Amino acid sequence: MGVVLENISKEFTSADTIQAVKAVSFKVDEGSLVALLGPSGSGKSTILRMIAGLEAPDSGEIYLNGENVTRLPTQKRGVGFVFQNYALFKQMSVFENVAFGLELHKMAPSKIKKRVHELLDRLGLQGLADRFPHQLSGGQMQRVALARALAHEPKVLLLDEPFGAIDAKIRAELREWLRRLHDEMHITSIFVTHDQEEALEICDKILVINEGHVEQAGTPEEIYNHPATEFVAHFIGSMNILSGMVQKDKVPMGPYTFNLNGMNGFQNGDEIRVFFRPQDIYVSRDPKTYALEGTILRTSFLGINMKLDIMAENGSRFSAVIPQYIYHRERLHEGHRVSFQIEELSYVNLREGRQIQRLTVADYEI
Amino acid sequence: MALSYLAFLVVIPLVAICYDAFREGSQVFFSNIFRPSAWAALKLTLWTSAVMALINGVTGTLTAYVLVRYEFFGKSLLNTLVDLPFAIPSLVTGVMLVILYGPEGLLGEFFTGTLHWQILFAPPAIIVALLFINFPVVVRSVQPVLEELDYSQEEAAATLGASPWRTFRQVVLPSIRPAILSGMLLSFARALGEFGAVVIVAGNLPLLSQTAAVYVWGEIESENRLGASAMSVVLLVLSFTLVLVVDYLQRKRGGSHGPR
Repeated sequence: MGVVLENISKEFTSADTIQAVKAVSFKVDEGSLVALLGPSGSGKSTILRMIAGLEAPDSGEIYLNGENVTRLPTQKRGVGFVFQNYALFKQMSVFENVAFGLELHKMAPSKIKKRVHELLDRLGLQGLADRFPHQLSGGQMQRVALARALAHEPKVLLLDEPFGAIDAKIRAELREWLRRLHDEMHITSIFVTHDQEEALEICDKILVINEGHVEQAGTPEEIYNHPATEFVAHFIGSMNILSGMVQKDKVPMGPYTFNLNGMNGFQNGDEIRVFFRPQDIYVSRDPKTYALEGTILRTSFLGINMKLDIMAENGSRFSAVIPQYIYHRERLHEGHRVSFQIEELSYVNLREGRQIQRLTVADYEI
Repeated sequence: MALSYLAFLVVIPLVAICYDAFREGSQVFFSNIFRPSAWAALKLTLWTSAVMALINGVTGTLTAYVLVRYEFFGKSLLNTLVDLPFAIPSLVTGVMLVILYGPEGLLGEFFTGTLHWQILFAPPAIIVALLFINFPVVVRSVQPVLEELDYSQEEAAATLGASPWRTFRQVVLPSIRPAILSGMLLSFARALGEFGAVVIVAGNLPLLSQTAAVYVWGEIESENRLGASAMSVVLLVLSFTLVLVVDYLQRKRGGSHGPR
């Protein structure tokens, strides 16, 4: 049950470049809220539109609640779709917009009236039934679009960058609406976004899409804490990414340098990339607190946190984010020498492939 | 400078013709209009133009819809062809229709010979000629509005279960109705004064197949200038009023665009 895609492929032209969705397969559990997260042009919207039947795949199969809908026209799929630009019927009132789908399903007028008002109430749109779209704010229009998409009780709710055209402040509010609505109605929902914060905050599961394929699927915590590929590591959250090459039996892991004979799977000439998050770094003024030493090149104020740009003794540079109170307690300033430690490191040996390996402090602090 | 040019070119002739038409009083003016041959010509012009505008409204809208919404081989060629009637001298249009619908013509043989339906030198030929000449008007009036119309509204209707026809009727049509109407009115206004093609295909029998424009020409030929002026003023007033209505419709459409 839920939504299943099997080997969905499609070539398409977008902004005059040929792009492709490449044999994408995934499953969205019934009643869950899932994000397709990726940069623009990654094919995420195309995948969503294929689920709705607004685009036809070149090959592959799509199932909604167990039924193969690959060759079913949009009208018969029973999906709700929310567009980035709202796509409200401009010549119809709010009431008529929401009632449109119900009238098509031959519902009695009295029932339609009840259902529309129930939905408008639920979305905080009481009293706006007689307004026309051009009399509404962006946030209100998108809630009307949400009510319209939900009215005919679709099997799945599809949202294509639903909050992309809305101011940041209202966007946060709408996110909560969506999450709350989803928790109340338990409708299987898939939404496309390029905003990782949005995806991390409200989704049960995230599918990271890049260049037409699924880079990683997992809960927000899994995606954030254990990125599976270099792309995901780079795309989600802020990350220090350092490159190096194994030579003369030395393995450079960012500020650390390991001996080749203590490491499995490396050989001279391997190119490696090292990843660690700025907040996974501990910093102290006392040179003996942590194993490595470096110099603070620059500090920047981030509000609740401070960002320090640090150069390690082996010349590698990276950013650390530490809470304000530690910054003040340790009296850290530009030009100071500090000791530091990195809680968790990930790396890719480019000779071996794209999958990320992890090292924790226990692996390298001797 | 520009104003005096406009006055010289447009306003003075307009004043002159109105003055001329009423020179011998309004009684003479009205008797010139209600003379049987004049009145019949006016009625013929109005109804053939109206039928043309109605047909043109439907075919023009469908053509515009197909040109905007569908991708097919030869689309850009078709798009160029739409303007062809504007480029063909209307006399040539008349000649083409005579060839096509004449007794030995491809269609003439079928309609007149097989169906015993007289097209050429009768009102149907007037309608066909007007249709040909005004075909681009509705298309070009509706097309830009359709292009501007957000396609996702139609996609939204489809996800809600609406058939393409229902979507067209309930979602697309309300948005393009003013454009269709102004295209129809504009082609109607243009048709009122159409001469070149009509004079060739209509047969120009007074009381039967003589349009107002051809009537004016006849009056000039027979040196009855007052009759020509009177009919001209009627055509002028009709056209001018229609252009004002079209202008109003377009203004209204422009004004009702709310924030998207």
